[in-house]
Amino acid sequence: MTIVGTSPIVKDARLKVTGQAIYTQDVNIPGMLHGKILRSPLAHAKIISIDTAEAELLPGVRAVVTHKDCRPDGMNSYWSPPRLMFAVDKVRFVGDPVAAVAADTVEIAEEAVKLIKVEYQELPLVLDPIEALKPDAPQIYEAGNSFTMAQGMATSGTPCFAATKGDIEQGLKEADISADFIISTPIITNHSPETDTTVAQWFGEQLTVWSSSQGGFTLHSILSMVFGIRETDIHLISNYSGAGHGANLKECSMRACITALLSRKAKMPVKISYTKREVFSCMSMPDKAKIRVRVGAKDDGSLTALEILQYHDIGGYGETHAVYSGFAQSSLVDFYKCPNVKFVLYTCMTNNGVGGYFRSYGPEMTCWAIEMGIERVLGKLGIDAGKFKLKNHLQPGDKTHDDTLLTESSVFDIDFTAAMNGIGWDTKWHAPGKGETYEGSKKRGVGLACATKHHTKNDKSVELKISRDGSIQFNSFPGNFGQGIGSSLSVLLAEALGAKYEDINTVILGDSDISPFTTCSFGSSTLFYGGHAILQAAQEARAILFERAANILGVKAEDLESKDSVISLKADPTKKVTFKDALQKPYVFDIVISNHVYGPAVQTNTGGRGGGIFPSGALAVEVEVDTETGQVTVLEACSSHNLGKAIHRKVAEGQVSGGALLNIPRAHRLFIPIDPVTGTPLVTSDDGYAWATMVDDVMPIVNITEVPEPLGPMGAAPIGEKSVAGTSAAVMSAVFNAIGVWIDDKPLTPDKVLKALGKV
Amino acid sequence: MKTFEHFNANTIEEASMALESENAEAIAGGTDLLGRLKNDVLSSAMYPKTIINLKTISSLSYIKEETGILKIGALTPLSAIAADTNVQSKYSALAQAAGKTASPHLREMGTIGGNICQYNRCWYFRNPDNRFDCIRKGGNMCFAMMGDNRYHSIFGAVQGCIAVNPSDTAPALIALNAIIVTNKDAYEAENFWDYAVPGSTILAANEIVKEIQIPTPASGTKSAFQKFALRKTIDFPIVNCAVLISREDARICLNAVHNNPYRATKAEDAIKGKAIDEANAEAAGAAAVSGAIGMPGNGSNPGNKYKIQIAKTLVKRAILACK
Repeated sequence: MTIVGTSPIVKDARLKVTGQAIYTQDVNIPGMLHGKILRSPLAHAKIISIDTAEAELLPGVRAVVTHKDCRPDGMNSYWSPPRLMFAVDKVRFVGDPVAAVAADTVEIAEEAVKLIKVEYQELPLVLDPIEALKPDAPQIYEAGNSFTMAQGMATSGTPCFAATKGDIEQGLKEADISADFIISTPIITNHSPETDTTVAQWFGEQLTVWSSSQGGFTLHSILSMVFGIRETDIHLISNYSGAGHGANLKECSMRACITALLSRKAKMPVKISYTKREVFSCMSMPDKAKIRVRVGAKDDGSLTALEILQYHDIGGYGETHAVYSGFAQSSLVDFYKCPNVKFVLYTCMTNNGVGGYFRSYGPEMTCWAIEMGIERVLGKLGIDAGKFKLKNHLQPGDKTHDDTLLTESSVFDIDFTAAMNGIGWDTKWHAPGKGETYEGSKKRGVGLACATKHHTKNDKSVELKISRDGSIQFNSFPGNFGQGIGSSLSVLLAEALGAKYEDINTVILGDSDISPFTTCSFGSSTLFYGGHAILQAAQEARAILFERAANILGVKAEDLESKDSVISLKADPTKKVTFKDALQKPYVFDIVISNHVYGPAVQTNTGGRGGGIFPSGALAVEVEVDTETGQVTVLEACSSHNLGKAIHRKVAEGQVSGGALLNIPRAHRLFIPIDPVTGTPLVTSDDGYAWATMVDDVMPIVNITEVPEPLGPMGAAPIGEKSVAGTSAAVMSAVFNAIGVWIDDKPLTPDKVLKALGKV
Repeated sequence: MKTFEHFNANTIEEASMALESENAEAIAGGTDLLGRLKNDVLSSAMYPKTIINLKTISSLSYIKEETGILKIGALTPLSAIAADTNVQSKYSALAQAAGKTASPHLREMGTIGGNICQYNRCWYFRNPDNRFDCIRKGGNMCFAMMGDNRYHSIFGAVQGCIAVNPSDTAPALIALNAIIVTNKDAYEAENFWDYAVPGSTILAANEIVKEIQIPTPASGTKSAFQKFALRKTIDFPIVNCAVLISREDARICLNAVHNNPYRATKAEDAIKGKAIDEANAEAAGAAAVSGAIGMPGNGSNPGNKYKIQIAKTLVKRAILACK
């Protein structure tokens, strides 16, 4: 391979850094109106009445919409339970949309929204997932506060999903040492650097939508369902997005529906841009949970039982898939050898904001719970957790309790060792709390966590065109939000076609009118399945090119090879034809190939849930804890991942370092405080939301392992999300190693650290 | 944001007259005011009808030392103060405080005058659309008292309000014994804030800060500033502290711990004339928080007793930094 593994210039780099790339916020159409959404100020209330009369009379207002303007069967089924775009009889979280206005200016729209009179009858609220399942808890839905995969809304306390192997109680009986504790995660949200925006315009019964999105056809099908129009009546444009994080899947569909509804009523184009306050109330809030962990081990550390009871708070509504993605996470329960395991997921409705995706949704908290369980017993035994993990993880060929087969890319011992060596583990690990003290008050410690995530099977298509002048373009619609997928696919294409990377001059990743059906980017699967699709297309195109070249040269097609967009005879390279010439003679011709890879048809580990493959990864960190102020600082991090094959090397390295860099703050400082009395988010702008910065956070050392994944395109393994999974676990175990005390709840803010140290 | 009149003042006198009109407010860098306006933090009745632009008044941005007094024009940006080598060497606490305020962009825009006149921080008070009509806005309740008060006062309420003054430069000015000169009067920095109205300066409606004056410390005097926040780059302080120590005097001021900057006189007494060492600094730290109460947590709110430990530590570290 000559191009795979190199780092040619990223396809859209120049347009982005020179500001020429058109993001949705840049889209302005003549006559365009501005929309604003009226959101519930209350976390739980009955809607008695909505009076829009005064708002409608305000000069400059062009349309006011409420649930009455929605088609009754136009439910957005990408939510659990399905919902209309506006609350009907009840609001269920602070920020629940109630009405919207389109007006000539943003200011008029803001004023008009305030003129809408909504009469509410306040209801008691519940903000804690375990409390929500109690019989006397406020009922958020008539059926109860639980959501299940089998029946939708269900009586409070019904498990969403359960998996088990062996006998937990027996395992705990056999244990010499055990632990039983509850840990909790805070509310956080996706925080896109882009202003979340949608523009919608109707042409008769046909709809055009510009939206920040991480994959168009999800949004496409929602718009089709909600408005009852055909797929081909919708043109969705999303060539550049400012972030994915999972946020640009479902909440952006609500914004798109509301924008389109306003536009249809006003008969003019409409733009809605979210304020930061809206971001902190209505964007998806992932991984909110209380988790009970029970674990038992023998004196030598070998595990006898591990039980994870996950009370997952999905707020007033949950994003479908996200609510039950926990079932796939159950595979992680016995990544460390343990005969008796149990995983139960309770999906709990509360009056918090909507539960939804975040890059690596689920494993971040599940890995954390598992690692915390194991480390507590190891900590009590004084065993080096890193070394224990190195010896006790599953190996390629082993199966998890649910029959997921670990393939050759699951080389955890290589990645564990590399991550540990990367931060100098052997010289830094010490018995918990027994290390040196620095500068009078600072303690250091190291932590290691397994970082992996299954990938999700899905469908990817590409349309490949090789033009008569030899230039190459391809279209697909996985979304383009900084993940570099266009460049990675271009590398695969150039390699497979024997083309110059530079000849692939047009990569279109977000236009539904020209791209064939593609599922959105999620579940670490875009390069995996998109790669298969582009390789198949390349193979077909190459066959046509070689056939034409063979005719020109008077040789057999099977005797040809191609490199740098030139086709030549293997035995005599002086006999050659350029791609361009091959397409000009004897007549001018464009090659167009449309190719589709259906995920489930690609043979992966069929026994496993959610798509099977678990390529290895590990994160090791060193932290410093200031025992006088409670501040936790991550000094060093080493993220080691088997990528199977790094297709575009810099893009692949960016996936690894970015996942760790962005998510490490979730362990020790990132949270949205919620007013315990009213359920109102108290962070409403960037200040106070301690997102990662290049100054505050350490850039992880990246180690790339390349043990090819046999099922992947040119050996590539799924990589998008796994670097996120071990972040909290590694940081929290490092803090334990530093101070010798466990802290149950994330994030490890100074109040919790000082309390654990007995200084509050 | 609502509509308002915007008036460019050419002189302080002009600005002062304009400020006498109903609901008029001054703007300099705007880093505090614009956020409040955009978010409709205040009730409609309190929303400014006129904004008086002070930036159009010439020659209010300067740093100069004259006859033993450092003079800083009210419109001097924080970035200029942080970068001034004379301020760095002789008025270290102020240079450090200005340099640790917010982010580079905000330090370029934000002025020293505005930094000491900014409104208090409280996420209930600042919640958009006047969501919580609290005591600070003329309501009758403090929502932080019952809600999440992890960043609030550890020295009790002022007129029922437990919001904190978030200025980084204010405690430095108090420690450095600064005088705040307005178009009407001159005040010792520690008397600049009002205890009758929560989170206010004592300025009259038409009064404008013109200049900050700081007596040049005698040789051998040292000062230092410490700030604690979740991130180094941008966050408001959870606690900060400025200390000045000369041969016979000590001045110590904490901020973000009370409605107004909190001068820790007991800590000053504890360290005055003593050797600067770990034990004495520790004792002064303990003395600084001897009156602190802190609030217990409830549910997801951890309360703010942990801030007492942080305040104690910052006082100790700021003293040791004056060694």
